[in-house]
Amino acid sequence: MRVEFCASCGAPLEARWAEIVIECHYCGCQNAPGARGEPVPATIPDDGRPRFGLDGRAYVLQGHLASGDSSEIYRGRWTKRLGELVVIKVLRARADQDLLRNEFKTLQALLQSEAQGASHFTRLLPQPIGLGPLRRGDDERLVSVFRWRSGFQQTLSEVLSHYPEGLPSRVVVWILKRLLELLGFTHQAGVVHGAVTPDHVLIHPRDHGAVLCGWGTATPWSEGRQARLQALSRAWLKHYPSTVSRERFVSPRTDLAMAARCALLAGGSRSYEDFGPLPPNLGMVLVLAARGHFDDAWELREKVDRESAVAHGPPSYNPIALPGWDPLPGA
Amino acid sequence: MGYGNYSHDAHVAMTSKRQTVNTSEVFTQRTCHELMRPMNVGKRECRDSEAHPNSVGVVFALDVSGSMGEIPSRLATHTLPAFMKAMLDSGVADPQVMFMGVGHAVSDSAPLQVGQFESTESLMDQWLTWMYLEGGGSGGNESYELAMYFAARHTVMDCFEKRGRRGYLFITGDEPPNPVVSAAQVKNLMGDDLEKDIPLADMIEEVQRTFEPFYLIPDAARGQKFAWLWRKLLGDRVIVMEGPDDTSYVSAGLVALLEGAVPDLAALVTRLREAGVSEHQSAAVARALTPFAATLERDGTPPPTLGSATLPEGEGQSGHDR
Repeated sequence: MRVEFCASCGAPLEARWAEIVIECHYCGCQNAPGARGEPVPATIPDDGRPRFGLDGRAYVLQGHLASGDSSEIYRGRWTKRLGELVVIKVLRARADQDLLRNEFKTLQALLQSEAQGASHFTRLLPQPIGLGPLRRGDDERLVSVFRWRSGFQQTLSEVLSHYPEGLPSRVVVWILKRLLELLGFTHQAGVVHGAVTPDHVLIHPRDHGAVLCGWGTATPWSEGRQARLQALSRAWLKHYPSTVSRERFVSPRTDLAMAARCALLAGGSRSYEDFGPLPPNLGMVLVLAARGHFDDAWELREKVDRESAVAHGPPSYNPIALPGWDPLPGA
Repeated sequence: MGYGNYSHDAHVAMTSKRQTVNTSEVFTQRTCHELMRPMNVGKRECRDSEAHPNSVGVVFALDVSGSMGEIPSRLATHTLPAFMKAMLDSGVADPQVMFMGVGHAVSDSAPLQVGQFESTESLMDQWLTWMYLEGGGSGGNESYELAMYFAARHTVMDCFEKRGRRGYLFITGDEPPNPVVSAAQVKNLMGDDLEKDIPLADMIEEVQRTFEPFYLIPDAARGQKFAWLWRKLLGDRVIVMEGPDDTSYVSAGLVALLEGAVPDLAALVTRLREAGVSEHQSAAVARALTPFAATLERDGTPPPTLGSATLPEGEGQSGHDR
């Protein structure tokens, strides 16, 4: 049995979709451009969408995903047959060129880290592929290319737009735990993210995934040395602990406070001093963390885990219901 | 080559008998088997037959160095029947499997060993266990590019010639790629005259005309070291597994996804669970396959909402306070 479904209407198609151009009997759409029965082209034919070359590869921009503080962010594809999907950041504000470069270099270095758990946690970081210029006529601007991360296509801000009253507290717990685990690794590897805002938390609503993007202001950090942020995200100035907004000095404590602030917002709280509808003991831990009481991600994670067990019982599967997403089969 | 019927039960019986036996008792070759030498072999053929009218060529190029010998060993003692069963369960009725052994072209005595395409369990098993697990594995990268060269230039497959469908090439390894296919090594090992070395990127282009190539890395620790180097060449065709035992299921899953035998990853996991694969292993296989399934847009996630791909112009505003 072979099953293939039309990308346009969902009707079953004939087999050989990866090899030859096939037309759907129901809606008439084709699986690839070209004449019916012809081989699927080795490269994606030019349909007028922007393209550029970098490090010997050509990429096509498929569409706009989001606007970041410095860049416009697109989904793209390496233009080979079955070429990989990518995220492309095109610098919008030229003055932020240093931040785009910093993000790329910081992530490249983190991927080579030998800190404990590196082989697991490095897979949760954005995977840099290329950094270079995109030229069109006289216009030249910096672009960076990263691997596409399956399922991580909505930020916490976007998820919360579907949940104006906040997410269930069990969901808040898994989001925060994933963030703390990742931050525990990056801190051990000597890097502070420095901008853990709801716009920089990407959520996998089905698989209990939460990862960080927006590493442009990440900074090296080590015990006894002060690390300073190059820039603050203007849309989230109140999300930074007040000492950071004033003096710009950051440490793991900063990341943990900002992660806890994300969790408070996710739980439906309207202020970082109030835990809103979250269970009180869990909520108090978050409020203390949001004030900067913790500097060890794993210690905070353990506290969250403990209070969650009291409030909710053992961990369970709690996907976030979002349009288009189905829970895992059998869950 | 490639006549006969595949029998899962017989194959399980054959491999399970070996599970308590040492690797050296299963792989008894102490030098390259005469029939596996690649010198002047012409073409390895993967042909249709009455019993197998829709043959699909599957080549396993297995790194047989010390750090990677575990995969051929586990295939011979545990997991090859699982691969064949998963293929049949996925609707690929007539797979024909050829094994190659890959070592180091400079330091090994048998850097490339090649079997034949087979569809019966005993013959598949014979070629697999005739492989010489030379060990070694220090002082340079294994010669994976020679396996690509052999697959591209020394195989002929009815799946491609008659039906325009590519075969599958699974290379297992844990070393960075070599930059070129060396003309001197090709001459030494296979007897072919090449005018000059072939850049690896060109070799990969060539092998993709007839095969769907994949590079399988056995675990995340080795993936962290080498996957990025291979990804530059192969993109998401580099699969980082969570353990060498997943090789069979991961390979069969790739074939099933590309053949359209399963609509997406979730359906593949359901198939694996129904076939008795543990929840833990099914999930590990799904995780390893997720990036490539995303490339196929078969990862079971909704397509992202995309706006127009219009590029920014002029001097755009920064959202940062300096």
